[in-house]
Amino acid sequence: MKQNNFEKSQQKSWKAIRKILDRTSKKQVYNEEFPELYRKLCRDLAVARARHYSATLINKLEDLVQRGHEHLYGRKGRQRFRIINYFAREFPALIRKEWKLVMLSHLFFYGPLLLLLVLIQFYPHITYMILPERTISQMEMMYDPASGHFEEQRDASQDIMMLGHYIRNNVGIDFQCFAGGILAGVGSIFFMVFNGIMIGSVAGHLTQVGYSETFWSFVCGHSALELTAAVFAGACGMKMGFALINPGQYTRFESLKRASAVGMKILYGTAFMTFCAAFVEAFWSSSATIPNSTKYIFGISFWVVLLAYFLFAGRGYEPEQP
Amino acid sequence: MKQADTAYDVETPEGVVLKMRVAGLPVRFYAYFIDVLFRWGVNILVSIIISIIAGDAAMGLLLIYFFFMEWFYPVYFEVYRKGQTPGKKQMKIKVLNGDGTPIGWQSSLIRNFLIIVDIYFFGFMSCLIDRRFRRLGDLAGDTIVVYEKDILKSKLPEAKPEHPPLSLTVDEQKAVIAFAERYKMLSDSRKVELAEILIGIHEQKKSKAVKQVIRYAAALSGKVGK
Repeated sequence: MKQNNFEKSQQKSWKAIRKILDRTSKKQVYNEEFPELYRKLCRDLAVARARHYSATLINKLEDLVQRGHEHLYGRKGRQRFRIINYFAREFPALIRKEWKLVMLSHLFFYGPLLLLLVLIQFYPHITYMILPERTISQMEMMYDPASGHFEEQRDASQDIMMLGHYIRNNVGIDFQCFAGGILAGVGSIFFMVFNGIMIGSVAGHLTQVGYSETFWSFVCGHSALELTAAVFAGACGMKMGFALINPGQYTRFESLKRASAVGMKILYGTAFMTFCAAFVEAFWSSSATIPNSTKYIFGISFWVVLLAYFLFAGRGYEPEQP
Repeated sequence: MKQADTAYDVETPEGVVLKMRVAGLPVRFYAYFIDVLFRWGVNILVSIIISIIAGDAAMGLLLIYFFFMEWFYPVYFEVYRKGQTPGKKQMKIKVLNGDGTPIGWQSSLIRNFLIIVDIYFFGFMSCLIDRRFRRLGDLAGDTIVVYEKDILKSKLPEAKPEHPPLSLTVDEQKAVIAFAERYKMLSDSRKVELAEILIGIHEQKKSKAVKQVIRYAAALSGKVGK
């Protein structure tokens, strides 16, 4: 068949397809005729190539196929995120599925934390080997029960400022812990150990100098959410890094791709936890009107609820393979 | 010839191969740079507006705003603006999934969170090593950055079609057409050099050879002489 005749005979269906693509380029609208027209277009392109029709025609068809391809298969990436299902079942199920990494991440974080917390009680000078003197005096000032700023209620604008600070800082740290994992997991492990050392030495020092009441009552409320989330974020990063080191039956690229998808899925919930922790930290933990005993009970019950959630929620649910 | 090419083939489920032109490090860096400037501009504007409107709470709101701007600015544009941040739009490149489909939330989040690692040298290395110029974030998210339109696909120049005296093989035809499509990008002496090789035994020299090849290309690409 001559090219001219070919073009003439197929012109109509090409026009129809272009019309659909132009109209739906803004919104993704489902069109019943589209898949069939698109498949025909692909056939036409293959025929045109096989018969060595002109480059102009082939270019034109290629552009149409490219746009059609994006239109037809683009939806796949826009799957609806099912929020309720995610928090009721998928998130805890994913954490349980990756329990080995989650445990390992806990170990990297709480190992140095607890070690320093205990050691500093007996050898207080260790703090000075880890933290700069200025930081220590700042910390002491912040939690000094004698300073009096724990008795007075701070104003709302300051609460909101701290909220902004906690969100930006703490959720950002989660994302860093995740991203660092791409370097064969080293970045995530580093952040876990580093944060463990920092928090452990501050907590150890403040306890040792006798500021327990102010310090522990402040941190206990948001500790469950914030620390657990940071540890999960580290686990997400390790998932990615270890997939590179030990790809198993996949190629390294394929393995990385799958692991990152799982890691990112866990990171959604993790970021949300830190986000909530920021609210608790800004409005509850800092409140001067709530008695310390209430804060302790609240903090401990948070740990219990969280543990129960990750142990029991969504049991039997099988998370989708990416 | 294939190894030195930046074309990347995606095969659709219909068995049709789509050719993508992947974008290299410099273009992507310019796009990133434009985005940085653009973000600064917007940040300054928003800071002024928020501090006027919000009064006491301004600092807190601004910090939250910065948080979203730092992490989600590229994600928003890539998901809702067809894979293009303002910088990428300027440079006429876009992000796609590895299979040529538009990028979704998950891949976009992965590739943009990992930028904080890529920015330190790792991204450059990965970009230079990988055949599709992917940085670590692209590898993890399975994404590619391609040119919006294939820059090498340009229109054939106008010329009087003339059939070659011999019948050419498909590859030879392709070479003639490719020459006609791209000859404007070449220097004059290079044009002549290539045209003389293509024209081979036909004895035409210098600029005449160039013109002759373009006429052949016009005929081969199906233009009909008047």
